[in-house]
Amino acid sequence: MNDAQIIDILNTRFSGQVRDVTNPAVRRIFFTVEPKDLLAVVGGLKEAMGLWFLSTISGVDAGESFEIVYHFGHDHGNLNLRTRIPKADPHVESITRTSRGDPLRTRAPGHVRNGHRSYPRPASSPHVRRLAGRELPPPQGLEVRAARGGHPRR
Amino acid sequence: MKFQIPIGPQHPALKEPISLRMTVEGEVIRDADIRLGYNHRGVEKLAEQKNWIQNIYLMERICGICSHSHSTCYVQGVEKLMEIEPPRRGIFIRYLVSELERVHSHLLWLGVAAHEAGFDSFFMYTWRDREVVMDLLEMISGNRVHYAINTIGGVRRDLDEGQIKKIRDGIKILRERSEFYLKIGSTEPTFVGRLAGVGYLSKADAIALCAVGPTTRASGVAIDVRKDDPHAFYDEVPFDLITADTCDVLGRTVVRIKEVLESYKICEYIVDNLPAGDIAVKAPKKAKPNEVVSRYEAPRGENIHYIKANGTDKPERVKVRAPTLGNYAATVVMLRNGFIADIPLIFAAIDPCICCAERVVELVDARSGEESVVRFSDLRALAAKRRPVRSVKGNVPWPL
Repeated sequence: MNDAQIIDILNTRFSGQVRDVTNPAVRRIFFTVEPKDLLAVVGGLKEAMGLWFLSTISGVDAGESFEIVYHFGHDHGNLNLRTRIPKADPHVESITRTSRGDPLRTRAPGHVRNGHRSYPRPASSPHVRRLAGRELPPPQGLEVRAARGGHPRR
Repeated sequence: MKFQIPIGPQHPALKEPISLRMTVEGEVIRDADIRLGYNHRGVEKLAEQKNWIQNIYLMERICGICSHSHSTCYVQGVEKLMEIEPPRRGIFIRYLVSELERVHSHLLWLGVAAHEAGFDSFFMYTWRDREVVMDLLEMISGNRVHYAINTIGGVRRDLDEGQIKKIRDGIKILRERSEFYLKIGSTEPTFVGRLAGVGYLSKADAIALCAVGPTTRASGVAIDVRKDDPHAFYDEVPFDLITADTCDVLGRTVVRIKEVLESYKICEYIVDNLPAGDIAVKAPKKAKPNEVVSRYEAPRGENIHYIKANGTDKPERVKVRAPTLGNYAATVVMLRNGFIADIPLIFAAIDPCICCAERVVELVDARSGEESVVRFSDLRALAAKRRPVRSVKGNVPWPL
């Protein structure tokens, strides 16, 4: 898959949702979506291209609005999704519904906050509950390890 | 019965300030909470006030261990913005320093891991041998930590035949020692017994939580910017992508030692195929309005710089995502169901660099819950209030 094919997917599958697609350098694709379409586009890209690796999220002070850039890494190119939110109401829907992420922010609602709070979600959100109930490796107590022949104190 | 144990933000076991709150049941960790934001260096804001060249030295100071990673990630982004291509000799020298830096970082980590595991003789061995690579870096760049070898459009120092010979000799010694470390790291019963099964991170979790670097490769995820998004000359260099499937601290150790061996291969390829010619091209003072995303595989994982130009000699925005931040979410999962005694080992296994990853934008008063944004002028006023101008040293009475 090359840049032209990725741009083609963006323009055909997400027509009406994606605009201003640019390709300033090889493997670097930037495009803009409206905040209301954010979840639909991120979810759609995950399905269409297996876009699972979110490198980081950047924020740019663009005068009357904030520009939020989601940097996705992919084997075939790097997709940078851009959206703008007004300064008067600086909120954007979290993409944790489509991409599981930051358990840090979710359990630390009232302390010195980090600028990288990628997924601002309340601790009571369904996502956090799902995270808590996830299947984890079985606890390995000392007696379990000792029974396996391991040193009980490792 | 569950209760919480706070570790940090200031703790003898921590080299940098971070707060870890462990919910424990007996000695088993049931949940972990990482609280960040105890550092703010204002690097990104400062970058907006400095020109393209000055920012190289600022970026280099983001980290004291992978300083070259940040400056390289920055300059390769700026070079794209300015549409200039460094000469091949310059590229080869730049990434020679990158790979030597990876070796020194991994050897440093190996020593730290050995120390956390209670294997201090291993720590001393690895740190002794790290001096070999530090000496090589000093010979190439003139510096042991902040190499200052990058410039926009290439590098600032060339290599001569004598230096190339010393690099070859150094790599020969290091390879021999690293193979010995691989043997120890993967077979020494007490060391393996201490690391195996500790800090489990499944492949699915590594993918879902976007972990990076050796942490995720040790969970069987083959991800490396040098392979996935090859920059500079990495598409022509023969090296293998190292992964492990044990998903634990032992896997992370083995991955790092094997990566060191791959770095030697890359260094040898560089010195064997070093092209003749210039080491740098002249760069313009200004960059056209545009934006760029630069990715670089630092020793700890993917480093990313987002740079936006507005046509002046200064960037409009520089965003830095250090690899440690990408691994914090996975660390919480690794800590769960582990033991209290494993906390230092699990946390050290991501090779954290806390100050690299910190960006505070908002302060919350712990007592009142009041939120505020502190501006630079506020900080200055606060500093002046707390530390009023004092008399000069000569007037201060001798305390003893």
